[in-house]
Amino acid sequence: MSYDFWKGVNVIEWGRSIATAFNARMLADMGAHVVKVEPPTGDPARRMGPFPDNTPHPEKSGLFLALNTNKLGITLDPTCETGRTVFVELVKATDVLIFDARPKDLARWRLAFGDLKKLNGSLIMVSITPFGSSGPYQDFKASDLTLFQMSGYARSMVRGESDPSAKVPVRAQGEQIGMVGGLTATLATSMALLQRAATKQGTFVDVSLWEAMCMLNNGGYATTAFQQFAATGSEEQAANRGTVATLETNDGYVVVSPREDDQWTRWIALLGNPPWASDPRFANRQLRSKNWDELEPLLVEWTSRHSKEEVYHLAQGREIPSFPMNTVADLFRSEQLRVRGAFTTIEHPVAGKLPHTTPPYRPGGQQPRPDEPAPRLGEHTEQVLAGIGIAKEEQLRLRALGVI
Amino acid sequence: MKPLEGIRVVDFSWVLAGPICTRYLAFMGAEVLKVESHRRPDPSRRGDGFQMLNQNKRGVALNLSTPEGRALALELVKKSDVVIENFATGVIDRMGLGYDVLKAANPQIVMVSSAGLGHTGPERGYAAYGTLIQAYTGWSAIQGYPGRKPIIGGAFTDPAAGTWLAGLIASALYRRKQTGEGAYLDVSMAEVTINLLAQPLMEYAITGAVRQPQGNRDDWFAPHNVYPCAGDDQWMAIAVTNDEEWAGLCKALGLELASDVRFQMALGRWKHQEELDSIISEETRRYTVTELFARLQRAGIPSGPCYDLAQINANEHLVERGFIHEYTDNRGRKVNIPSIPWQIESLPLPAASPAPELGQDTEYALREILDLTPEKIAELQKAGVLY
Repeated sequence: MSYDFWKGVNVIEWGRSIATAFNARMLADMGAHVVKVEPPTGDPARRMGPFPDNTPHPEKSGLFLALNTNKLGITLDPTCETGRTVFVELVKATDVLIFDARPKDLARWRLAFGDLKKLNGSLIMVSITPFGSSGPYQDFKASDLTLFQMSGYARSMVRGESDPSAKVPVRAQGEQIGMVGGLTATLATSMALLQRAATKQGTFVDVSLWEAMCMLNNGGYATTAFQQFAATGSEEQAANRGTVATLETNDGYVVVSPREDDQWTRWIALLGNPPWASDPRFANRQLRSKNWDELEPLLVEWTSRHSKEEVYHLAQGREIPSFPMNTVADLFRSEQLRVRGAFTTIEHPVAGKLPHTTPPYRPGGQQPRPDEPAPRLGEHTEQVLAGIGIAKEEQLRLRALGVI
Repeated sequence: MKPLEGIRVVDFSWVLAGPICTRYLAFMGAEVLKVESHRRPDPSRRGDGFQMLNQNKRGVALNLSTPEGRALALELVKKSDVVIENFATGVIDRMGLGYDVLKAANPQIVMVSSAGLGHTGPERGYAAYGTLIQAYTGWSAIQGYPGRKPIIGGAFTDPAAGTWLAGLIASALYRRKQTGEGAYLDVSMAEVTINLLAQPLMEYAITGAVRQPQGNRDDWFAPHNVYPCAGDDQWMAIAVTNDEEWAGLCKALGLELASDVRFQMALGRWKHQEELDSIISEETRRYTVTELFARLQRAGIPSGPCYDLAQINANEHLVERGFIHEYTDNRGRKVNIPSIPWQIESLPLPAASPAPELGQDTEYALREILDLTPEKIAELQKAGVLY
């Protein structure tokens, strides 16, 4: 589903990363006109999968399809001289250029902000790189794992139980660096567009994936700095055991948080006020945390006789914060998400019908437009190039040169 | 000129997602009126985290349990551009400050209502904390180590939602500039996090496989893990994804394995990753994190130390970039903490003014924005409306 927040705003996405693609997809969902520039060999996400039968196919990568709905796609190599000429024409006619090339490479290709703003004074250039466009680490090598581990969040993840080997800091799965980086870049791009609406001047926006992920620790930095103490996940967990408890059910886990006294009273009532409920070891939040090892099996004795969905609705029916530990498969069975329209089916000419997430907001009064599937490799090259005045014959020449 | 100069925000939100959103708006030049009362202070005031979450905002004390308090809130909305709230679903309507009322008072208002599961659907009224919501979204079930309980994973949903909310408000303001129309935006925090799960969702949709926790390992590549360094609880993340990086790693660590048949090609390394991890760990233990990081980066290996928050607050790269900057709170305490995670060249990185005391700007709001007389303000004070 796409809306019309950024109607009339033209965006070029030229990158190889999940963050550039996700940033541009969010803007496309909000109504921007997005042209995705892929190298003639295709975006790396086309090779990343998941694929049906684990057989790679450039038009069937699930990750690529999910990240690129509602965009036009062209192939073009802006790093060679002929390709650069075409790219520059595109840049002249755009509002935003989202990219992930490193500063020194951009300078080498004469595509730095200084070069491009001479051609388009109102251009907003959004750079998304691992460490940003300045500072001593700007050329360092990174990956999803290394950036997540550097972000502090790996230590903030509440770590596993009493097994010391589980104390190793762990990254979050699901390409979270790219997703969080893209999300942050969308906010930055939006702010730059608002600023430009007032100043009429373009600008350069610098987003560092590392900083974007660091930011997810948020208030923790102030706590650490003022207390001069860096709490680790396991220390925090020791102090808060049972505040958010993951309990076994007969079909997975449920998470419950009867943290306040009134919530605890209602929770115990739900469990049928068992005799141990009046045990002084469990009299308040601090004691429950301290004696969690004794308390947890008593709770599981009850939860394990129910499904996670049952515990969820029973607890929520008594205003006790509780949620099932869903798997991605469970999401497609959720009545709440179905009624909300959290998923939509998009048909792709090669990959077929697949479920996609819809944006997490519902703008009252706006009529959403139906989604367009991710572009096939080079699907809109002819159309987009014709739009900037490149005639058929010239396009044939570029094709012969392997530039498009 | 700041992007949100001249924009005023009435902020009824509390704890994490809402305040993170309005902090970003404040850094971008909006005037944020954080509405609380002594009856209902932001619970995050209990800790120092509040100092980070509420910089550059004004504090307004309004007792929304009184009709006069609600009337004053509505008057502020008339003079504002954005309203944000994250009460439980339905609460703002019962307070008489729902979108219909606000729109009647100010047709151009942009109102954002954020709730755990959104404002429609059978489970809309369920009690939610951000941390628990990520269990609901499928995010938690893929975190942690194989064969163990999944990791709920700290407060991930709240800051992600806060970032999304701020971008959404900016987008609605841009649209308002073009069309003159205000907006009502119903946001589900759960759906924010579900949107960050593109890869595992598609994997299930396409292959039927339900992704499981895998620690720090990867589906295809090895070595891909964190390795112990000298000292206690010191770790280095290393991610090798091609033969060139593998050869570089062997050289950097003095390992004579580049031609070892077991570790040829990505598949060979992946199949023997247990062996590989123990061999590499033996070598990494010889170095401090700092020594090893420099050595690996010189060799072009994707790598990074597992930092804690104190190390991030002091990191040379982040300080040089200005991401880490100095902040002084209301009591004069100075610390180094993060600014915002993006830089706009034409906008110097904004300074952070102290998070407000509860109600420190009530008089400003009533006098300067609502034009109330000192007598009227004193009267409201006495009646417990400005509490």
